[in-house]
Formats: sequence, structure tokens, C-alpha cells
Amino acid sequence: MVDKRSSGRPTGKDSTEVRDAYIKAARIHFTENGYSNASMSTIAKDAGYTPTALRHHFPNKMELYSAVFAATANEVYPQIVRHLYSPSMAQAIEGSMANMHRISNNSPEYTYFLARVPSELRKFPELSDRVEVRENFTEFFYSSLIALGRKTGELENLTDELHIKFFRIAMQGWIYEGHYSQNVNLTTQTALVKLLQRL
Amino acid sequence: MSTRGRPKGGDSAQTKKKILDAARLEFATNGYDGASIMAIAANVGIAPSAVYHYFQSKEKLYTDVFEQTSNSIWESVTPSEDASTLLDAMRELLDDSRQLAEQLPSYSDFLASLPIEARLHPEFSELLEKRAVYQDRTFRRLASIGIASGELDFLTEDEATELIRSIVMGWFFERHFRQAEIPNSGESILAMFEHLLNSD
Repeated sequence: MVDKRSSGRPTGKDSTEVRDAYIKAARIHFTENGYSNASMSTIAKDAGYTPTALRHHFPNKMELYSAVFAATANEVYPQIVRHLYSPSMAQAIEGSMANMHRISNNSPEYTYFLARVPSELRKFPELSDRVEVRENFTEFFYSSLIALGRKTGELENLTDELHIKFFRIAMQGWIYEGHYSQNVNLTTQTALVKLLQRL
Repeated sequence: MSTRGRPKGGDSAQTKKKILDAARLEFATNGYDGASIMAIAANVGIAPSAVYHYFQSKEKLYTDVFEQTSNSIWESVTPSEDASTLLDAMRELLDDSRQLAEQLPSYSDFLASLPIEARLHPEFSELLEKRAVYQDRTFRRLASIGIASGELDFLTEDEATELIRSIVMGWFFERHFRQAEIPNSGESILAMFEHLLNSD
């Protein structure tokens, strides 16, 4: 018997698949060429559709960028956040940085896209309300990390504000510098865990 | 008699410097692709062809701006020989970097955008390697100060170097992105090293 359902265009999830194809192609274009150089028609072509079809889903480049950001953050942030439930701050640092390192090896366009966001925001401030969740996430992550260290007694002497700023600068610096110099390695992670034992 | 026509001698070095200054600002503001040789020439008050007389191509101009800018920045932020603690050396570095950002904003902005340009334009990947050499010289020197003073004696030289690289570049990029430091971030770095200095 011939399965009738297999012939012709599948209905239903089709539109989601098309959308995903656009996002995937756009993520690569935004990371490789930057927001200003990325072209809607090249992205459509790479995804295998016409520019008109792309504009049906995303009327302009800003909508597309915002969708790529949301899809990328939804994929990456939960994998980082789950390490906040580690038994110690040292393990949370170790786990989140190791995870970031793994993602940057397996899906470099995900972490590089995210590492490029702040430099795009500087050039295109109009994007900032599209990626507002990023700043909230950063603040949430570092304040929770320090709260964990305080709870376990790993942090004793210095103030919370100082710890939040210090670990934020060091870990974000590791992300930016690693991606920009195209050399993400875990030596900073080892150093931060050893430093934590001195606090 | 009044002097007429093109003055001779030192003038050519001066013109070259003016072109480099105008080009640095143009590259930092509009990126490599967006930078216009016409705009650079107009800023200096010369013909576009004169820019090509001194620098054969836009690519060469970019490379020369990189060399000149890196030399002067890294020269001024590398800790002096007499810094005996990492705390002092870091304080010096942060202060120098702040001063540079205020007095010569195009220097910091140009260097911050370099790694992104190098990724967009593979012909500049050599500049990324040179950038690493400049960085390593300064950060290894800071690391050895910190290990010798006891502040970072619990780390290997590589670990200390990478930690310092992440801290300094994190502070630098956050300031660049926001066009202002994250409030108290420099102070937090110094307070951390002060704690490490006194806790031994």
C-alpha cells in the first residue's frame, strides 16, 4: 500500500522548518559578515528560498537579527544557567566555562554570534531593545553565581558587588577575547577556580 | 622673499603622520569596508592620489595604522620595570588605558575593532598574530610580577597570563562596547589584587 501522506508537501510544521532554515543561514551571515554587511537576498539564497519568501517571515533585517538572537540565546543560555545549580561556586565556574568551550567547538557560530552582539549594539543602538534579555541574563547569571559562593562559604571577605564585577569582567573577557582571537581554551577557567580557593 | 610651493624636508613625514591619524579615525568609525580614501584625503587636505603615493593601497594603509597604533598603545600600557607588585602594575595599566581612551579615543576604538575586521578580511589574519605578540609581551610580564610578589604564586605562568589577559581584555571590551566603564569595575579588579597581596 502506498502511504498517501508521503506524497506532496507535508502540512503543518512546514513553516517552522522554513523559518529554521532562514535562521540557520542568517546566523552564519551575521557572524561572518556582521550586521551591516549581511544581505537579506544572500541569506534567502543560502537558505534555498527567494528573498520575497524571506520577507514574508521577516519583513526586515532587524526582525531577522532579533529572531536569530532569540533562537541562539534559547539554545545556549539554558546550558550555561543549569550550572548555577552546582553544589559549589567552583563547580559552577568549571561547568559553565567547560560547557561554553564545548559549544564553541561544536557549534562555533552560536557562541561567536553571541560574542559579537555587544559590538553590534555599539554600532547599531537600535538593536538594543531586541536583545534586552542579554543584559538581564548577564546580571542574573553573575549575581546568582556570587550568591552561590556566599551560601557555600567559598566567598567570605570581599563584598558581593566587588565579586560580581570581578567575575563578570574575567569571564566575559574570556568569552570575548577567546572568540575574537579565535583561540578559546580553558586555562582561564583553571586559574579562576584556583583563585576562588584564595578568597 | 616668501616661501612658495611645497615646503621641503620634514614635511613628508608630517603628511604621512596626518594621513595615519585621519585613517585611524576613519577605520575606527566606519570599519575597513566603509572607510573612504576620499574622506581621509579630504580630512588631511590633500588629493586622494597623494594618499596612494604614501601608502600603496587601502590594505597597506590599514596595516600601517595597525603597526603605529599598536606600538604606541602597548608601549604606554606595559608596566614599568620598577613595579614590584601586580597591584601597582595593574593600577598603572588601568590608569594609562583610561588616559589613552580619553585623549586618543580613535587608538582604543581602532584596536578594539581589529579582531572583528581580521575575521571579515582573511588578508589581515597576520595582524591577529601580531596582536597576540603585543598582548603576550605585556601579560606575561604582569604574570611574572604577580608570581614573584606572591600575589599569584598559586598559578603557573600560563595560568597567570591567561587570567590577566581575560581580566584586562574583559575590562577593555566592556568599556569599548558601552563607551563607558562598567561602574567600579576597575576598582573591583584592584581590590581583588589587593586582597591577594595581603592575604599571604
